[in-house]
Amino acid sequence: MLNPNDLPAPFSHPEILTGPAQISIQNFNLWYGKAQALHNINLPVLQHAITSFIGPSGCGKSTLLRSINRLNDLIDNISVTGDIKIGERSVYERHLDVTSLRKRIGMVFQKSNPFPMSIYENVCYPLRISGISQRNILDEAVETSLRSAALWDEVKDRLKRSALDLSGGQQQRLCIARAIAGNPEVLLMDEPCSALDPISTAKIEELIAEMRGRFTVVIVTHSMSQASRVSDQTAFFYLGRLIEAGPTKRLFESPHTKATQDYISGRFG
Amino acid sequence: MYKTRRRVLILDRISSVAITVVGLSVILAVAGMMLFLIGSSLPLFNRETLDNTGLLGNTGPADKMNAGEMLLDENAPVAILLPHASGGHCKILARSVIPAAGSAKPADSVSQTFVLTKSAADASGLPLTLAKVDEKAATAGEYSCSAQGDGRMLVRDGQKLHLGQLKILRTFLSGEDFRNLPADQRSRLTEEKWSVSNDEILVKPSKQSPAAKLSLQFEIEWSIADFFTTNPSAELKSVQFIKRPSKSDGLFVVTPQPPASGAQNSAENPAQVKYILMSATENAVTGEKSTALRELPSKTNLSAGQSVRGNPAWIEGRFLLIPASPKSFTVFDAEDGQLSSALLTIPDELGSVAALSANFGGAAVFTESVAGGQTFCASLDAGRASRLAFGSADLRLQIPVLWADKCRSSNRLIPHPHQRAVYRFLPSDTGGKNAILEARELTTGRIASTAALPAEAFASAVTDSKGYMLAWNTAGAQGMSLLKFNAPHLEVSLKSLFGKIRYESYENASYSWQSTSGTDEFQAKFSLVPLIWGTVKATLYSLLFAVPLAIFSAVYSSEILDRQTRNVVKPTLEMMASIPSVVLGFLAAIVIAPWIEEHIVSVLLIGVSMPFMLYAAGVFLQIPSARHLTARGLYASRRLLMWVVGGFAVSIWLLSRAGLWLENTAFGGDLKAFLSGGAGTEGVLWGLLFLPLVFISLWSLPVRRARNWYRIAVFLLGPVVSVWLGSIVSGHTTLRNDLLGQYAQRNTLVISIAMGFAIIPIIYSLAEDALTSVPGSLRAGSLACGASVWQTTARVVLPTAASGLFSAVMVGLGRGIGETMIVVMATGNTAVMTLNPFDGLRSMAANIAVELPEAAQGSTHYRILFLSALVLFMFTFTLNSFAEFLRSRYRARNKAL
Amino acid sequence: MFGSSKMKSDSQSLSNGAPKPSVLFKTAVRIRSKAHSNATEGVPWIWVCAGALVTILLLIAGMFGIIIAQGISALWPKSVIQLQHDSQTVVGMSMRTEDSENTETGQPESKVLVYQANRDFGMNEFAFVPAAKIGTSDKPAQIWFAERAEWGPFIGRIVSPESAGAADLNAGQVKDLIGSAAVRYKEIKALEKGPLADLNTDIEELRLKKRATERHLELGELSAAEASAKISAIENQLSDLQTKHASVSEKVQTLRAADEAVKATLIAPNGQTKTLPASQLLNAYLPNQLSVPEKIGIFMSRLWSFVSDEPREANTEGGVFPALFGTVAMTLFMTMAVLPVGVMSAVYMREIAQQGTLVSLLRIAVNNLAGVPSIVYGIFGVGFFCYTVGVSVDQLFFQDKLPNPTFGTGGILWASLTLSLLTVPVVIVSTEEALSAVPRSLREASYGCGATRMQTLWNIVLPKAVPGVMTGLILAMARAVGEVAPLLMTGVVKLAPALPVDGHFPFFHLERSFMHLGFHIYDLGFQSRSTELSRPMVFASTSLLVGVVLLLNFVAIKIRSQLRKRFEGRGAF
Repeated sequence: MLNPNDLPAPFSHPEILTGPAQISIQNFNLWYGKAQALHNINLPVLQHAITSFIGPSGCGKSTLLRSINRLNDLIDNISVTGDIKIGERSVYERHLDVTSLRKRIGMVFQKSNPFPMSIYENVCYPLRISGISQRNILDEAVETSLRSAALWDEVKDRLKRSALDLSGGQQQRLCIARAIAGNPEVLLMDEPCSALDPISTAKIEELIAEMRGRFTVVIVTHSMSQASRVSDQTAFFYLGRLIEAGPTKRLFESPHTKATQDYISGRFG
Repeated sequence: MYKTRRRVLILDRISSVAITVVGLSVILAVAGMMLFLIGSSLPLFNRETLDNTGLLGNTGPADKMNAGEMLLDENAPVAILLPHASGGHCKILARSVIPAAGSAKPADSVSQTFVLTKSAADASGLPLTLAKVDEKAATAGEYSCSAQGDGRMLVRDGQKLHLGQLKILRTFLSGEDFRNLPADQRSRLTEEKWSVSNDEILVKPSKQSPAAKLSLQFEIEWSIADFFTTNPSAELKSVQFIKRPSKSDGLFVVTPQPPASGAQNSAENPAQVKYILMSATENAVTGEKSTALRELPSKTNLSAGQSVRGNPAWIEGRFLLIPASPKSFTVFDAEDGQLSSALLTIPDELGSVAALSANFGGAAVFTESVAGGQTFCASLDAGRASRLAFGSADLRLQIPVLWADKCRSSNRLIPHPHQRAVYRFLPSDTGGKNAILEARELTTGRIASTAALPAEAFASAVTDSKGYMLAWNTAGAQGMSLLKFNAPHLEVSLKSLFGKIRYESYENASYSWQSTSGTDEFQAKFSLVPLIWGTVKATLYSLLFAVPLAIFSAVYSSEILDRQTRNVVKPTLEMMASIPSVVLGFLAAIVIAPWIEEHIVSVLLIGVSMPFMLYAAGVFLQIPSARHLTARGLYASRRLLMWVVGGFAVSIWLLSRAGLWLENTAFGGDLKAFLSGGAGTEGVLWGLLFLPLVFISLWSLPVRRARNWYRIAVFLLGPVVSVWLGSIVSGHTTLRNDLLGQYAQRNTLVISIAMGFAIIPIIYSLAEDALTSVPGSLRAGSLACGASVWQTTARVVLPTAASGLFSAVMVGLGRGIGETMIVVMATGNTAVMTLNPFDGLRSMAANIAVELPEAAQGSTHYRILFLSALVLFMFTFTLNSFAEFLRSRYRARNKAL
Repeated sequence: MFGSSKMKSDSQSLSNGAPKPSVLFKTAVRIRSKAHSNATEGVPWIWVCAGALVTILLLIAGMFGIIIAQGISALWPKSVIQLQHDSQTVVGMSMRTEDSENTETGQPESKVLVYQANRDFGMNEFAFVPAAKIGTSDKPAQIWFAERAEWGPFIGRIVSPESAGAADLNAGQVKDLIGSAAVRYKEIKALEKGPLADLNTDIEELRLKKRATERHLELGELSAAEASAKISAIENQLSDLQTKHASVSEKVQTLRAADEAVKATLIAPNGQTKTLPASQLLNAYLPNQLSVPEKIGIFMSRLWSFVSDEPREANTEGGVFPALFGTVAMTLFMTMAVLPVGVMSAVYMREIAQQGTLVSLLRIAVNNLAGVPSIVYGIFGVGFFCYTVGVSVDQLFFQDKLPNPTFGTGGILWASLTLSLLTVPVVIVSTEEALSAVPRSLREASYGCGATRMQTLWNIVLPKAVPGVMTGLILAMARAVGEVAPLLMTGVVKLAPALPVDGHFPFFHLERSFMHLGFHIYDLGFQSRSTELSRPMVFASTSLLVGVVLLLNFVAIKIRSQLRKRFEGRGAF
């Protein structure tokens, strides 16, 4: 197995910067209390492109994802150095209003977590908490989001029913609809399909593909086939370090580092 | 190959059986408790019975006993019958009448006859003693006597009239005397029989009491030398003596002897009933007795055919209701010897009185009156009316009616000597032979039970304190029938427990609980309604105090408090749950109650305005650290707690100053005086009540709440608007005597704080568990959508945990209802039914704790306490089962999330 | 001001950088621009929640503060002050100042409540001195505070009887006066409690036997001859016991006379003097000459005597030992009853019964037992245990003692059984919680080795559940120590002559009624002669009771958190 200290030093990836970077992560470190989970990550995420984070479980890819929209604040003794910028605004700015930041970043979780309310309320939740309560705006937003989550036809006649009655795949798509209802610029997805059957996974992947060009999507996945099918850009993490990042086709066909080669070929992981 | 040893298998079998048995024993414990409570309170409701033990054979000697008196010894199967106005010679028949213990049929009637004779000078110094004569002997004694009720006899000795008391003397036989009884007597005694020897009756020893000897004794209390000289026309038969209860004097009622035809008060000589009051004094030193007679001017002008059956009755041992006309009575006060100016009249709808009898306890009178052919039975509050009669100016005073309803007219009324009941002899309704004896209960007027009697047997009857009644027929020789009226819990019926009843000398019908008082004539008032009201009021007020505090703290500690502080706060609050309620009760009574009485206005002000002060702090004080906190999205709560503690110190000091200022200006210096009608404007009080309503209504207006000027306006405008509203409303409603009345030191406010203290930890820990069991993914989902921490809590977490919170409150409610010691110690235990938070209260649990130690086992009071315990048990049982149901449904739903 | 304005400018800059959004999202953009930041939405509600939590914490702190402060001040030796106000002089300990309305003038004024003691010297115990009118107030040195066996404490001068009020005894003399009196007192007590008490019980037994034979005669079960023979035998046994009793009590009399000879004279501030036997003085000190360490010493000795002495003066003075002993004894009896039943029921519900309707019914029953108001237990206890079971026990075994009941009335047995019924749900719930914490795999492993169900239970499951059972038990004891309502009727009395467990033969007298700390507080707080006098005593026993309860609770919580840590990993909770 690879031991951490003989990993190559982090390096910049000139050929990746082809478009304006929506999210730029500059030498970002993160500690849970005393244990360091992320070591000096530098990674630009392209705007309107789909970036996937791959790597063995426990390599810190979800932690990094949750640091982007500062959901890590929920856990008590977290300390962070370095910076994550969205556009030019830093996420860890001193007096940043976290709720406005999160409104611009939608997030979908591994296990679908629809709220115990009706489907309609679930989707228009982000708008309601921003204080919007005019009926017409809400109806339009709900229809738009459900259509773009390819769920509208299945639920348009039972919007008032509880969201818990939906199937697993439908619930996940509802969460996606909820995430994009507030028209975010970035969409973070933390292993969205790991708990779903192949058919729903396929539907979700179609959805992600359609989002290219509308949102900057960052998806964490442990299935390399999904990464190669869906993402434009992939970053490989191992033991809290960014080993290699680059366009998906190039990374999967001719990885620069041996670690990526071993991981892709499944020798460890 | 190892085999499990036999011993182990057997042991296995035994212990699993043992555990199963013990496991089920817990169900038995609950069921047992419920059964026991039901078992001890059920007898309250079984029907009263009036059973006829059958005829007792003929009355013995030829001359009939047309009326008699029955005297009973507690547990000896012996009855002493006395002639009643027999006019003939004084013959007393002692006869075993009551069935020996255990057997249904009365023991074979061994009887003994006595006659009054002049006692030999030396015997016992008494002028008259009883001498045993042979039953058959027809010798007539030289005295004639007539019985006057519970053993008293009038004896005519020439022109003298003696008033004497007949008693059964019981002397116990100690071990030795029993041993040296003649052998035959002792042996007969042990064979389940009683025996008569010379003039004593021997009674068999039983497990509880040793052998005893009964003897009959006659003792003269008063003798009036010239009674018959002063009223020559009177005969002993027509003289009736009504003794004044607990005093030695009394009233002689001399009804003129009707001509032979037996029609009473025939038209020719209108009834000139004479009332002669005898007041007797005894010189303590010499023991010499003197009596003084005084004739009361009787205005009786009863027209023909109308006579009020039942003699003038002593009311409360002091007044005498003398029928002046069929519809009115004059009142004679024996204390200061005057006749009342006013006439007490019967309400018109009851018509004119046909019969009257003073009930046990002497305050109320049972009357039968006829109006338009229909007979009405009613119980009139004569005691109260008589007291009013002497003071009032107007001449005609209506006697207040306790209850009245239609009934059939009776031939004869006999009041029960020891219970508020009356026996009514009714002619048979189907025209058949036998008559009906009806026992009617007098607090609510319901018919307790009825029994059929052979028609003629109802001619006359006597009764004793234990419910035995001897009825016989003077005409034929049909013999006597013995009846037993057993009504251990007469006053208790659904109406008396839960209905509104007009009690004796009460202004109007009310629910009141007064289980015991000094005298045993006291009318026990067993209405459970004030107790239920007290329990509910105490619990609701304490929930009002406890639930907001507990739920909000649970929300803060589960949603906002960081893990470290939570691990300190949660155990301290759980430890609070184990503080004994006796300590809480004691502190409430000795420390909190006086302190609150001292600073009542500031306490009210703080209570009402504290939540809004906190909200205002949140709105106005967007202090940097709070902004920083919100920025980081997680409220570093310990610093916020410090800010709140600081804010508390300032605002409590501020509000107590404002309280003092408010008390001096608005309530004339002292709220307590103001509450009981003192100076001060009520507007401000209404204002205090309106403050929360005004805030909430202003806050929920659809104006864009985010605007700052709107928020400031609400806080400044609020108090002004509420006081202005208050002054308008106080114009035409007085708050003081319906919602807020008198101020008692140990009031419901103190209870709500003390009991709230006991309930808070229970609701807190259950609510906190419910909130923390909401899955974290929901919170993450909501935060990810950009909701603030409070929005997440309010919109996602609280709705999910709602049923868990609700069941926590239910358990808290159950604990509040069951709370005993706090309520016993911290209230004045006054059974009042008001909404006023400054009044005391008496809860069921406290009532049981205070009264059960004194209640006699098996008595009505004892069983009613068990009934209230059963009500309490059912209440908490339903509450807890509902809470359990909610909690299991909630836990199942959570698993689905 | 709310941080939102700055954000707005920022989002515009972002969007104009991005490509023109498609018409589909025109509405969404319009929405966002109007939205204000909801970051501070709800912060005021957080303040309200924080306020609620702070209120509760302040209430707890306030309550414990009052209890501790009053508890200590009750036993802390206060100094004696002498107040002159207009003509009278008031000597005593100042309890507290009260501001109340002056009846004549109506203005509020503050009065000092001074406790003068010396009830039998014709002085009233409490004197209100209007603070305004106090002339001089000084602390006389030579003033004694003495606790006496009767008539309550004494404040004044102690002089030797011969010197007719001249020579004040100094501290040393008083100390050995009291010391020797204490020795004599112990001697007398040894004789009374030992031989005399045994003789009394034997005489009582013989009297009962005589009574029994007489009754048999009456009921005809014995012939006259046999009866009288038996009675005469009993009678001469009685006579020689009587002689022994006489000799012992005569010895006690001589000792008492000798004790009485040693006298001391007390002079109260109002000049009245009283000579009484020195053994009446239990302990005495000069309050105004005490240094702080001495005060602490006296505080400790009073604390010890508070916990170990018998109560005096109708519970308003002396110690609470019988109450403490009664509470502990009752709690132990209760534990012996509640432990097996509680654990067995929990095992039944968790291990043996199939989780069908029966078990859910049982669980509802258990929860309802916990919810039943404690007074109903009292009623059930007295109605079922005392009057049904107790009376039949009397009929069967204690017939000759009738008509006064032995088991037919309240007693420590019935009280602890009632309380065990009250606390069994607590034990069941926590035991079940502990049993469910034991992972399924352990049980399967044990069954795998061929162990029977009971062996698995005994060797694997129960040891793991012991901490849970322990917490349940301690919570139950904490509840029992503090409970009063059910005890009112089932056996607690104001003053119990003898302890439920003592040296005489059957050692455990389960039928005796006992004293209880909780009832002591209720009774003293409300039914004592003067609440003012009993106030320090009540606060002292309250702090003792609260201390015991908190100790039990603290141990329970420690064990429970330790138990949780051990099973944390398996996510059992």
